[in-house]
Amino acid sequence: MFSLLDTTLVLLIVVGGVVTLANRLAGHYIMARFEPIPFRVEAALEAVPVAVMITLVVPTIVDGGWVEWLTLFVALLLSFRLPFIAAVFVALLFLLGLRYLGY
Amino acid sequence: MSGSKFDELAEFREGLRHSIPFILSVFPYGIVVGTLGVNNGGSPFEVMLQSALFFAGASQTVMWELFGAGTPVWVIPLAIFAVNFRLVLYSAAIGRKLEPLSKPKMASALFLLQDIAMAVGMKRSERSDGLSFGHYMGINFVLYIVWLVASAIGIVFGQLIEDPKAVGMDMLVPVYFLLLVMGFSNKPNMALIFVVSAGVATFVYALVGSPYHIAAGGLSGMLVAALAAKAERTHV
Repeated sequence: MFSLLDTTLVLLIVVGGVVTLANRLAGHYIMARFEPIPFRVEAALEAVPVAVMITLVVPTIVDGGWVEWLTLFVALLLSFRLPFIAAVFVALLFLLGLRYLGY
Repeated sequence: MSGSKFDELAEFREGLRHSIPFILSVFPYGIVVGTLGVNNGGSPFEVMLQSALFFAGASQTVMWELFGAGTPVWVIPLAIFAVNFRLVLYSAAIGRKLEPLSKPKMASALFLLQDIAMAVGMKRSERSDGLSFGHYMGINFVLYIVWLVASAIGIVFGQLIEDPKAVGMDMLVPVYFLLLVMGFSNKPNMALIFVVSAGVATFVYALVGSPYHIAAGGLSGMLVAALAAKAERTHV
């Protein structure tokens, strides 16, 4: 079905791994050259969790329909009341319920 | 080496405990990526090698989709770089929270860096004593092991998750990320950053497509944070 080792593929995986590690190291070691960091750059770095992670939700909102929108909204509401993992869990149960009902 | 101000072993143990809520997202995702790999021409060894070296699900998915579709091999590392570009921003944000660290420790911490590592680490760094190496490694060591185990399960029991949508897989990551973002609602200018970043990302996603919406939205949000910043906030 498949060969045990495909030289091209192994090479591709190693190169991809190196690229990924380079991404992981680059940000910190580039910033470290610019110490001390100006306050505006500091503010930009503090914004990373919100600014970057919210973009990862965007495709779901653009491609999704009301079932997906409602699930995210329910998760949001639950997060004000429940611990993190409970909010995730209940929101996913809500989604599965909707899908089970055929929505 | 100078001693840490933390009880690193206790921090590591606490990190192990704090990893538990995130296993629910890492584990099924790893199974799906493992299955995707063997279905697109990877041998079990190759798929495990990828999970061990990458530890970055989105780029692993993209690599297998491109490889399976017969895309010229030299293009694929560029795609991996584009999908993982957000790690550059994560690294810039979290590295200074982990300092001071020896080079080997910093490199091992950054090797394990992904979305959850960054979000939990940045939140933890808001505490008065900051983010410890032990806590960071505790969480991400567990998630790395879970990732490898899940990849192996995906390889061996391929198609375990037959229809990812029926079990809500497609919404697992978005729900996690949205709630992680909401954890930062105490940050200055959060609403502004949120709106600009999401707005630009939506625009670019609709017009250009993935993964460019991530860099475009992320950098726009960071830019507006920089422009809106007030000097006195930084003297901490």
